[in-house]
Amino acid sequence: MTETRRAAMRRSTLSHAPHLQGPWGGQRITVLLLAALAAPLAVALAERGTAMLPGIALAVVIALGWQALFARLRRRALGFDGIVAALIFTLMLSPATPLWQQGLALSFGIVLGEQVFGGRGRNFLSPAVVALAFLLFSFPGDAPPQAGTAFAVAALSGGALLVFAGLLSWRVVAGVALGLAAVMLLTGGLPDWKAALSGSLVFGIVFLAGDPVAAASTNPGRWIYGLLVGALVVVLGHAGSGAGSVHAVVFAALLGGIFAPLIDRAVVAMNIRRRRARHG
Amino acid sequence: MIELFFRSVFEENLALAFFLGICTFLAVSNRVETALGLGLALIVVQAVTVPLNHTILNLLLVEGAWGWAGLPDIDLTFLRLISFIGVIAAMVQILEMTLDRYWPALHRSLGIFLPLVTVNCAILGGSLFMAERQYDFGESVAYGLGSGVGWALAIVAFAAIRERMRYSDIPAGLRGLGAAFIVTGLMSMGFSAFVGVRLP
Repeated sequence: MTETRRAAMRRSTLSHAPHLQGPWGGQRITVLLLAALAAPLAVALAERGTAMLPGIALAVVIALGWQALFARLRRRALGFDGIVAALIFTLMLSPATPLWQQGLALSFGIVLGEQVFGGRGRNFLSPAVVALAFLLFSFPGDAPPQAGTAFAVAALSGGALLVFAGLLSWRVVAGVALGLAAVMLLTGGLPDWKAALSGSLVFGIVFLAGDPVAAASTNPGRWIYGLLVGALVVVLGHAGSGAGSVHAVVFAALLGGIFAPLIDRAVVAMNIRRRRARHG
Repeated sequence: MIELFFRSVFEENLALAFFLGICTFLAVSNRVETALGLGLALIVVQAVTVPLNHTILNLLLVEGAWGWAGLPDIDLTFLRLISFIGVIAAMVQILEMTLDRYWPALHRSLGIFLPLVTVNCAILGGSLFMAERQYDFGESVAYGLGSGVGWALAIVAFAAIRERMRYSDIPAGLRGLGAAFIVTGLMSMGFSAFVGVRLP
């Protein structure tokens, strides 16, 4: 191979766009997540009316604004996945939250939960979870009203779409359900499972705990992560405002995301040890 | 007792609720193996020194401890700090010699931070909390073990996150310690949820 040809090849490999190629490239993940969010969004709009619209508009503008700023500073192509974080954030909120608090919390979540680490996929927590945790931590108020059954069904259908598309691991969902049921049985609170299985809980499992970036990414790790999150939802709920409350779900997802890298790391280490024992 | 153990692991986590021992927490968390080694070392030191310091405090230092020798009004509590540090230093020295003999690889990777465990504020803080809150002997065992386990859990989880952050694209000025502080803050926010959690 001549020197010029080698140089030309090197140039051609370098000239690829920095984002992923292939079926997962571009904005396909964002579009799928938006499709999954459409049903819960429609239900929430039908239930709460147009009072939600200013909050949604503000959240989308803030999320995309930060994303555009960081994309410009990094000289990268602009992504639109900020819309997903903005919508998830708004749908988990109490409608009574003042707009400036929403804007502050979402800015914190997007910047320090995601963009500072390099954008979606390079962070380790879901920006919506960080924003919600910031909001609940900084402005503790009365427990937000629980979303109803229609919202839960809509979130469930969105989750089914995500599982089908491979963006949500069924192992995580099954682990959360198992952890929830087991700890509830242990603490003797099973009779109130119907109250606990609120819309915010189902939505939180699908879109907060199920976030593929924040969740564990090895198969045994997904089970452990799910069990941990499910158990934490009950444990934190006992201390606060009930097992299905937004507070319990958000902080269970946050703690799950904090421990997910460790869970993955332990699973990989065990796997290496097992293979070494098998193959000598 | 069990409740005190869990409370010292989660709600009163020395690293993430009191921010004690942060110098070691930030410096020895680049690799999970090293963090795990240091975490285990800290559990051992903490679980031994807190009950030991409790015994020394109550048998030798508190007012009236020398009553059996006919000296009932001697109060040596002013020696508390220096005797706690002495016990911790001796314990760390013993641990260091043990590691050097049996796990030389871990001893090498911990480097200067093992002797520095002597002045780790998490360890001294554990003993001082024990004295301040007037735990009895059983409680001091539970608290020593629990606070050590909590600190170790925090540093191992933190190291796993930092290993994963090698794939991150952090602005040049924040790489290393800056990002570590951000992650510590996020972890601390997560642990704040344990406030008020009690065993049913």
